[in-house]
Amino acid sequence: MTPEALEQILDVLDVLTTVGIVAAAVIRFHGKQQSLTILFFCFAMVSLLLTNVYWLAHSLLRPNMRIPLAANTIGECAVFLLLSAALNSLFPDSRFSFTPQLVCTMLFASASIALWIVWSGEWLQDLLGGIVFGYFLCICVRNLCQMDLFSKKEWLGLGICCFTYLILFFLFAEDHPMVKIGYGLMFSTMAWFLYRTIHLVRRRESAKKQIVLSVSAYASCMSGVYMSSGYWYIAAELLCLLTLPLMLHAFRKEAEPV
Amino acid sequence: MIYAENILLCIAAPLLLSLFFLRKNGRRFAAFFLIGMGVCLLGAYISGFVLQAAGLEKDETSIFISPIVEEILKLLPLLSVLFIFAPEDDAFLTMAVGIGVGFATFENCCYILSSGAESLPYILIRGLAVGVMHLVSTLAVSLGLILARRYKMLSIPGIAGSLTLSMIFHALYNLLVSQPGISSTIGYILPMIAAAGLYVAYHKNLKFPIE
Repeated sequence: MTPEALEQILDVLDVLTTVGIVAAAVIRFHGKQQSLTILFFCFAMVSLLLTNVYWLAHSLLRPNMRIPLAANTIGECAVFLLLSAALNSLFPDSRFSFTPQLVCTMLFASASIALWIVWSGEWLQDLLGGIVFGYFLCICVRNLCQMDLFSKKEWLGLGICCFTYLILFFLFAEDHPMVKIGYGLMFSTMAWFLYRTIHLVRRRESAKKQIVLSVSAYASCMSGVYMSSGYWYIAAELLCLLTLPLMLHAFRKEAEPV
Repeated sequence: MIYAENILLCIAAPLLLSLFFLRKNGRRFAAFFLIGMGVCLLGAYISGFVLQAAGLEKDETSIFISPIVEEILKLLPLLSVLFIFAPEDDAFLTMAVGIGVGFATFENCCYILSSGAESLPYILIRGLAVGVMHLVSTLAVSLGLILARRYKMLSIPGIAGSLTLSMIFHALYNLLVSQPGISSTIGYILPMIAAAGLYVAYHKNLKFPIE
């Protein structure tokens, strides 16, 4: 099967999964007193569903048409902003402080935007989406630091992995063997976030920790989706789909009465 | 070639005068109907500018850029009113309906003048599909804003979420009708289905309480 055909199947799967998530969220949260965190999450999932529906229609009707700036970019920005707002509402008094992790995240986001522009040439779309995505990454990293979810060794390992694959992607063309090493590192970071989230779920840790880590896993997988193409893109999308039920589980835990 | 500004002046003059004789919701509707027509003209200017400046094809502009430009322009007056006057939900919906209908009416007038009004199916499609689509997309963004305000989410993320509702609906419609066949049929039916859905949702007054 060609990557294009697989991508279309994946687009359908994306829509079905988000329909399931939105339906589960509505059934679980409707008619009860809910916090802002839950409401922001529900709104984010509705936006994600609409974005996926639009993307599916686009891939079926106009698969090879150039997209300069489309509604799906605005939809994705809304998803990132709403998830950031959900995280912010968990810690209403927290402020940004320039920790090394945050500075590295800003550098990573800036380098990623530069790469996307080089690859696609659609600077307006990449700049708009990239700035919002960078903000989302910063919120995730700030909350990960605040909850002390990673040790110093883990942060160092993540930083080395992320910057190594960015450098490899900058230096080598797509068909170069070194790029495969880059993909390997990128998927390792995504798998690490997923593993840590599932580990937290199995240990029945607090809802706040699960929310922060599952949303960060989603952010890491989205970063992978934006960085990959062909079969790698499909694998990254599949990992990204896995994070959605994990997020739903975490937010459901937050809604449970203590 | 049509002279859109002249058409606007012609339709706007009696409406402007009517503002002196109308009260409350009637005046609100007429005023925002006028704003909707102005927004339509401004949207056409901006989309035309983007088409030239970014070197895009006409198709690309109408499918991808116009929904973004038009929905942002329709959102701006609603957002200003919401923040400055904080109107009641019903009054706010009247304003949104005014903008949506004004936009659709002016756009339809311009299209009919440029393409002719001989074909009844074409006229029905313009009225029931494109016209209703603008009404539904403006209603969707206003309902999103009302919900955001009710649940104290009226911040940048809440506004972006509301804008997404209308923008993706509009963009999806443009994308579907851009291809002949089954997709355009679905596209033409979509606004009526969405309007029916919004009517039911609005009249059921779905409750989603907050702490």
